[in-house]
Amino acid sequence: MKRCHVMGLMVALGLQVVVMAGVFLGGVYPLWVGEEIRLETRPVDPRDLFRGNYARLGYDFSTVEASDLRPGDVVYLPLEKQPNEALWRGGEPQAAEPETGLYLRGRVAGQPWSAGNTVKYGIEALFAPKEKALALERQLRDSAVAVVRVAPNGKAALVTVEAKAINN
Amino acid sequence: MQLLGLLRRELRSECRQWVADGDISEDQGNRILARYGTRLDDDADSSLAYKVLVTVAMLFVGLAILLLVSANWEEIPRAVRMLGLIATTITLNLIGIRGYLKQGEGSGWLFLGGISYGASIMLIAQIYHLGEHFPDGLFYWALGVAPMAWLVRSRLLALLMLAVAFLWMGAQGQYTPPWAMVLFLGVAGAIALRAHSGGLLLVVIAVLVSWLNLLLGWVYGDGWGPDFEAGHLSLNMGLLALLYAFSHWAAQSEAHYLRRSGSLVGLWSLRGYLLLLLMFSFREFSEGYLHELVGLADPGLWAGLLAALLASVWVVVRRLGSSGPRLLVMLLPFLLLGIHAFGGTEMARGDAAWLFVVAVNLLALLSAIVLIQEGLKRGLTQYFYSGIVLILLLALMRYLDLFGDYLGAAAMFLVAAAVLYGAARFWRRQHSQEAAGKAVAAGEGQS
Repeated sequence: MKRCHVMGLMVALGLQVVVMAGVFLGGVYPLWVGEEIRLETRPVDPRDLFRGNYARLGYDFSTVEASDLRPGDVVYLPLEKQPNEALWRGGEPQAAEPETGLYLRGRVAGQPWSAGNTVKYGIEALFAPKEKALALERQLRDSAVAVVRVAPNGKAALVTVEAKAINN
Repeated sequence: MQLLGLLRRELRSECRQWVADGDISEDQGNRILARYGTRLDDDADSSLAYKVLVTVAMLFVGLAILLLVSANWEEIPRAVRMLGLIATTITLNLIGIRGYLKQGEGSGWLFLGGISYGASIMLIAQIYHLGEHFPDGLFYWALGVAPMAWLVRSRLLALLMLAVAFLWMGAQGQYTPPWAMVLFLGVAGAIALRAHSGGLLLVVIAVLVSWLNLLLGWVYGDGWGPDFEAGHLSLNMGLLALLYAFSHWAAQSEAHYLRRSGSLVGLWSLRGYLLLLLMFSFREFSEGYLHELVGLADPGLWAGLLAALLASVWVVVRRLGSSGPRLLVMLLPFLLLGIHAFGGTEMARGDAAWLFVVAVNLLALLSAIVLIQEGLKRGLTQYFYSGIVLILLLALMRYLDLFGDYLGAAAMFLVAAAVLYGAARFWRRQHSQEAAGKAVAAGEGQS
């Protein structure tokens, strides 16, 4: 009985380790296997109650005008590289996973508002100390570029944010 | 009587004094205290003080860990930060497991381990800028704490799990119905029963009520998100009746912790009932409620009706509670059906709504009288003062909002005064009849 109990406690602890490892691998996986792209972005707003300070990043494709999307729905956004530019742009969001090309996998966040639905792709938060987050906001107010790595399944991870738009 | 169980510490201290003064023997003192699940030599006071202080200290350490995480310590390399926190989580849990296996203690360390585990999830999310769906982090936190809480039957860990799960429910509930709460509520409920914890049981019930309200919100929201409608009040009326039945069932139990949680649930269901009555006693509130009801197809009606029917069957079969409240519980299903059939109709939108308001005000008055009577008859000060406060609040509110203008309000005060006077006369007559009956019985006994 006691042996079973000890085993159970170890399994419970093992579950915690597995979850932590899973969160880590989920976050780091696109960084390992993903293709690096650059997206135009705008920093928005700092502070998270649990996770400290961060700059929230907004993208042109963060808002989707589609009336039939519900909170929690998965959306796929095909990505297109701009000719003569280093930047990539989002195409038309779709419910089905694209068969070819690079795309982002996102999820509809919250209820629709006047401009449409907000979709999150997991590249909206740049964590930094409070002063640095605020400085980043000031520094990147006009133009900023998010360096992102996108895995083949559409999962993306933010690498960094750069101060100026990069042409070519 | 039940409520005294909540004041066990004070009772124990009083009883010790009586024994020291020679008013009662030690055996008598122990027999009195045994009714409330304690005894004269119970050293729970000192261990409780120790436990409370250690728990608060652990909580502060946990908060310090969370603040460290929030401080974005960028100077340390990513891998070192992450591995450091994971190692801390494992170490704290291992110390807790060792303490638990050796002395049956260690839940404080496991509690810290649980906080460290949650902080690790948040830190990893922070290091890799994960921000797609933050409720997932809370879900994994509660999920990871659940098996440990279950295995060591720790109330502290169960409360941590439930608190995190509650936050997850609030955050995830905006996107999808939080079905996984069944798991967390089930685990916490089972721990409360296995660890004989009345306090944890009460928290489980409170979270369960919130969860049911959120689920009903999703039914109203039609898949787009939770909507809070008038029908939620109907659901909560049914749930209050169910809680009333539970509190009286628990009060009859052999288990002290069930009796204690029954007392607490009884108190809070009474307060909830009085609050609902006071809200409905305002004409604007009642009119708004009746106006928004969508008739017999309202999901809130059927959810409330199910709870009210269960409560009715429970109180009738087990003969729970005193006759007045029992009758009210039995009538509630019909009342709900009547209100919903009436609500949303042209009549309800018109002047007929005032009839509903008058009925609620009279019900509030009647409830106050019953509470005062029960309070005096059974020696329950909580009931007595609840009745007094209800009557005074009702009078003050009706005086301020001048229901039915000056003449209408004056008429209502007169009716209320007549009801109160009638009740007082009836009560005094009943009391003198009882006293006469006792005197006759005593006379027959002497002869």
